[in-house]
Amino acid sequence: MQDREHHVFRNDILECRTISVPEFMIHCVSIINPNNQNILPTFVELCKTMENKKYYKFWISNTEEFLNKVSAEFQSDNFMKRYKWYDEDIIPVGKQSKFAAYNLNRNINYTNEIVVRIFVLSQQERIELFRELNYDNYSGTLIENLK
Amino acid sequence: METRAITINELHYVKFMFNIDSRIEKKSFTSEQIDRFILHLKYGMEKNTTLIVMSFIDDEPIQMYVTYLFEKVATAYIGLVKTIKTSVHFKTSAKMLAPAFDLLTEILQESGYYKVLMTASERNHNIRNLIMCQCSKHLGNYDWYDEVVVPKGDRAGVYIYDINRLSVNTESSVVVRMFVLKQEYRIPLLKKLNLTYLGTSYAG
Repeated sequence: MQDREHHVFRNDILECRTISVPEFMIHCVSIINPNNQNILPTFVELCKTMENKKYYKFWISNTEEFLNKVSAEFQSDNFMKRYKWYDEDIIPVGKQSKFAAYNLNRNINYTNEIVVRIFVLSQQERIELFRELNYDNYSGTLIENLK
Repeated sequence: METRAITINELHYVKFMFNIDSRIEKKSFTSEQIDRFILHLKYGMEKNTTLIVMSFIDDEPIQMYVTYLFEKVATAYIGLVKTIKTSVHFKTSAKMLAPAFDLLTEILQESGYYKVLMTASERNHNIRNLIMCQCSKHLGNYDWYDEVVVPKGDRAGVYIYDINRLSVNTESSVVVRMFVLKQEYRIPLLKKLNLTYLGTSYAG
């Protein structure tokens, strides 16, 4: 894990820290003060910044319950609902993930199991971003259009 | 037809396939280059970062998937798909390839790898996806995302997207496409790891 970039995104309500893994164009977001209610403005800000750097996916590791709240919040926002999510790994209490990236930016949790959830920018949005760049032989295909 | 992952002691089957057809990505390779490639595969298998699934008819290999495992980011990359009957129309060869692809994805899923990368031109991706979906038990269980478009004659500049690309593609832009196992198929796999995981369905 070399050349990691660290960014801190703050507003009055929430502070997030993101660490990027440039070998795979992915970044990790940790929510520094998770008890605050309105997480959306900060997430919109950090995702806009990272999308400009061509990072179209990120992960958050936390309890399943907390991630469900975050995912539901995202669904209520036009910008954040462009991301679809998937559960990547379950890290047992007191353990680390076997996948090194998922141990970045977190301490071992001795109380709860931790779910690693990856958020992925939708194919529709990616197509629009790529089309703006006018690549030869690329028109952009959605799964549903292939059937 | 028998399909299985080969061991490090069975790399001679790779050599056997290249003796019949020495091409990779339409480019012919010398015996020396192929030996170097096989050494590279051997090194990867020793480190558990390379997985080769092969199909056989009468103990002779007919096709293989060479896959690289990037454990840091829980991602696999299908670096090479080789069949010794390249003249056969893809509709025919897809039926032969599907069991190897399905076994490969089963092995990957059991190891916690739910994301798989493949590189090709958009057209070839689409033809393969359309036809393979009709033959494969598992390909339809994946969503896909275009990670990057690499312009003709260029490289992505991102390690994992460029690895195993022997040369820049001079014919067309290439698309690195990430196949992501759908959440509904991950839940039972993740539940096996932990009893308290409820497994929330994606409702977007």
